[in-house]
Amino acid sequence: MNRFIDIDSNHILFKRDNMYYKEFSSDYSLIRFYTHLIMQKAPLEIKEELILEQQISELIKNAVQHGNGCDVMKKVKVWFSFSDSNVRLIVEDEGDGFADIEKWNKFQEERIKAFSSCDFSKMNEYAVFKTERSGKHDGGNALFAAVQYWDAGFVFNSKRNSVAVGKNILTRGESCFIPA
Amino acid sequence: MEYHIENMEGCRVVYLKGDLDLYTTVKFRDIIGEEGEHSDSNFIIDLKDVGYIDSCGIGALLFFFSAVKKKNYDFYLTCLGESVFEVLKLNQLIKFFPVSESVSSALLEMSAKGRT
Repeated sequence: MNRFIDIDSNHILFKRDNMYYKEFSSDYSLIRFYTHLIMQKAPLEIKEELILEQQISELIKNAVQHGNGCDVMKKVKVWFSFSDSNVRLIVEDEGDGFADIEKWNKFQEERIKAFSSCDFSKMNEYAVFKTERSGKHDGGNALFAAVQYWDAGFVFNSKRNSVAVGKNILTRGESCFIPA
Repeated sequence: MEYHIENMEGCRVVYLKGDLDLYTTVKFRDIIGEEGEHSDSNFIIDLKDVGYIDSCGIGALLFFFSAVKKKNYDFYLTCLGESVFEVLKLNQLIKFFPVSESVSSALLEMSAKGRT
């Protein structure tokens, strides 16, 4: 499984065919409401997928907060699709893009080593990723879970303001729709 | 999010109820910030009644864990529900946080380490 962030505007996950579309203002207080609106389109068995709602909420929060700086005049655009076997989303903001992808990937590489060692002081050093743009209440840990959860890919476009993700739901022994 | 705090065997046990998310984290940080600053004791955060946690909530737990460890006290998370466990497992923090299945088992583990 790829546990890093890719950059590829031509990635198959950016294909928007047959996807639902919604756009939202960057109102921080409505992030979980927006997530509920998206989840309404999910089949029942997908709605029950553990932490799917939480992971979608994290993507929207990143776009609202880090991408658009919670400027309610700026839009977050979301394309999404659900089937019995997979979930796909594309979340796009109007910001300058996630400049620190390479820095994050490097941090993640060291973090994987630190957590493999089970050495507390090393793990402590790599528990969270923060930058100058991080807010006081930022957890600094969302992307570590996201790159694991979205097992069909976690990919930014070249402008780095749009992320496409995919999740394989393998509850009935189906094969993956996109190789991880 | 609701909470109450009990003293048990020299340990502060914080029982949380509700979502620990982007909206409630500020309140949680206020509570635990006050606790961490003024309480000289071990801590247990019981998550039995927390059904939803996000990165902000985990960040707050990390913040508190770090504050308690700096004072050289012990810290445990207890009664993780399925979704809380899943998020901590995904970001590998399940290896980082001391976790116990119940408050009583955490107290026993602290006692075995001579921390209560």
